[in-house]
Amino acid sequence: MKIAISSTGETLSSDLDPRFGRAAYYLIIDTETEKIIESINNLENVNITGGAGTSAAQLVANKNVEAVISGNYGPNASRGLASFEIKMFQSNVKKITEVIADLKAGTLIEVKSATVPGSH
Amino acid sequence: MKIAIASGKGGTGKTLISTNLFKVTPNSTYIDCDVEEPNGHLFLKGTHVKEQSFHIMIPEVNQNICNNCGKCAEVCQFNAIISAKQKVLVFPELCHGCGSCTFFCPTKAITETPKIIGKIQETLINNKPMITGTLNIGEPMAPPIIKQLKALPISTEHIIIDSPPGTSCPVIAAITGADMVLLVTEPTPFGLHDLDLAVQVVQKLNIPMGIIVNKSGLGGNIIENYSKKKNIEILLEIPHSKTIAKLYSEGKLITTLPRYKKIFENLSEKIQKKVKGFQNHES
Repeated sequence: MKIAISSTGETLSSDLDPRFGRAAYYLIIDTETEKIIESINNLENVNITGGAGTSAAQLVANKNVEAVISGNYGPNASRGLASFEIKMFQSNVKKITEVIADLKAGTLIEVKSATVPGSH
Repeated sequence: MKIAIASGKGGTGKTLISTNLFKVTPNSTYIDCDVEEPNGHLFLKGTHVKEQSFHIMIPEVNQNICNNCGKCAEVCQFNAIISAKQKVLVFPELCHGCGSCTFFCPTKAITETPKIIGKIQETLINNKPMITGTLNIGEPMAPPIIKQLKALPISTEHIIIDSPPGTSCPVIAAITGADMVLLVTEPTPFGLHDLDLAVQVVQKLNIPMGIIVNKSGLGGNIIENYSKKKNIEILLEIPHSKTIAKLYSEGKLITTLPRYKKIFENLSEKIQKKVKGFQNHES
């Protein structure tokens, strides 16, 4: 399965970034091989005044991922992801390798709507 | 002349200065651009002329016509419209109503529908117009309504713009195009700190400015020292006074007192002279 994880860095040993829209990186990962297909620098969106969530939802949707893993999802991001039929999983901050292991073990919580209020 | 009264810090006395300056300046219009909390009307009571709702145009996509090219999402500066997986999504609360998506859509799949975000009221205060913008509670976007307030046809010679506090988009929208900005501050560390931020904004916009110290006498010479260092003139100092505080708390203009009427008349004349000076200098 192809997924996206919000990450603080570019490697599998980086930590998960708890913010979905304003994450430093998105790692597109193949869960079968547990390898990074692509790492996307999101610095452009970290400091934008608004629309970080919608922009991120569009970005991962265009990468054709089936699911995303992050710490929290705002109302715009979650509406976007849900409309694009991308599953949202919530994880604590830990190493990306551990997050993948949790997903495979089925211990991550799937959320259907925003987990935090919007920020503007 | 078009004068904007701004501050950086809230509660320094923008409305005190704006309303009293309006009162003593003949042939002037007062525009309350502090649309999240307009309160000039508490001091300026007059005859209600008209009220109209203010809306922005929000895109609506006809998915039957849309070919999912993604141009709309590409041109939107606010990520209010996104496109992926053969779908286009609109987020009205992020939309500034600029119309770019509609303009650039190659298949004309976008139509626009109005979304009311506030209202605009016109009142006559002794035959001088007061224009007030009010943003509905919960609406995040002040600049469109501020721009509309400033775009209304105004027949008076002078315009006095009461700006919102802060240093971000609403303030920029309010002070842009002014001949001069009056920055109201108070002699406290907070006042000085935020004055400096406001000065940086006004410098970036390249608008002439002057400082007004309200509640003068409170905190030593910190503003005087700053104004010397930055070479920005202090146009007026209003003392920290119980009389002023009392009048203000009763919703009365301080120019009802002859002493302050004279002080504000002098301020008005001084600013008009300065603005004429800038204009002559430019031409």
